[in-house]
Amino acid sequence: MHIFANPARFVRLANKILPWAIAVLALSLPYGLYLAIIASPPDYQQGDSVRIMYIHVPSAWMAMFTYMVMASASLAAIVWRHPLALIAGKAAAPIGAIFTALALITGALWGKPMWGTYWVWDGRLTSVLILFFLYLGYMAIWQAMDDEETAGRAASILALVGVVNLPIIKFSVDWWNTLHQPASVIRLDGPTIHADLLGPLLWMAVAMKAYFIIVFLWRMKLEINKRKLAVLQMSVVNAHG
Amino acid sequence: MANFFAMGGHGTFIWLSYSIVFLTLVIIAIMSFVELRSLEAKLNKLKRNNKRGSKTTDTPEKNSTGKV
Repeated sequence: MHIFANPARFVRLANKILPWAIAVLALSLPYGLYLAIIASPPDYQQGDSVRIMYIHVPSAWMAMFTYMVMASASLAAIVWRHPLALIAGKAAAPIGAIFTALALITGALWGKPMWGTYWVWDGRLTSVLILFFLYLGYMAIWQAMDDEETAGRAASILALVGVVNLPIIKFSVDWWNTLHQPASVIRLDGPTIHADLLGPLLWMAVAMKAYFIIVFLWRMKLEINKRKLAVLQMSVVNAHG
Repeated sequence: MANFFAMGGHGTFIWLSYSIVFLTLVIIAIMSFVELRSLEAKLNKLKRNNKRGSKTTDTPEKNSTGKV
């Protein structure tokens, strides 16, 4: 039963964090939406389409942040074989895949009126599409292998190899200067974006981060319960057999 | 009001973006929460059954007759 000693402590911690994360989401989402849709002015070049940016950019940030969570968990799983690490990676993957898909979809919906096309094989778009496939690959490995241990190791190795894609995404806009605009918020010389546009962006980013924490913790608890259930069912079978 | 929804002619793209993001995130959250709850329910049921199961194997007669 010792393997559940840590998960039990984790579940207690998660239960303490969850109400706070829900409170942050409940406050930041309405305010962020208010700023994004109503209070902020249209951009002088993009017009009202700039409002898509307030969900597109935070989604893209979350897509990369979630990958870092998944990759760190995978590293911990391989190096220290911590039982919670595999669970963390498995819990993060679908959330990251969704954020990546949303970044791609909202980007396409912004691209159509602004660039005149839904899609272009530009460095940034292509590397984010690869990120999406990395998430799908990670989840597919979990699905394909019956043995949790083997599946976890294989999936973790894929997640770690895929880390090379993160700097490619980040610097793709500088290396291949095609259609996607370069960074305007996370820059060494500070943001070049106007304050009126930065407000809604950051509030929506806070809301999405809170959302991630909530769903991530739920999914980790869910995975822990799945394992507990498997162990209990085993013991029932053993007791009767 | 109509102006607000038109969003300078790009309303379709903007509202579609927001709807897709909102709906997807809500669905994922609900799916995760519902699965978590159903697993918790299964676990509790199994734990209860296990306890009852061990009692009946210890003292089968008492348990079968003693229960009203």
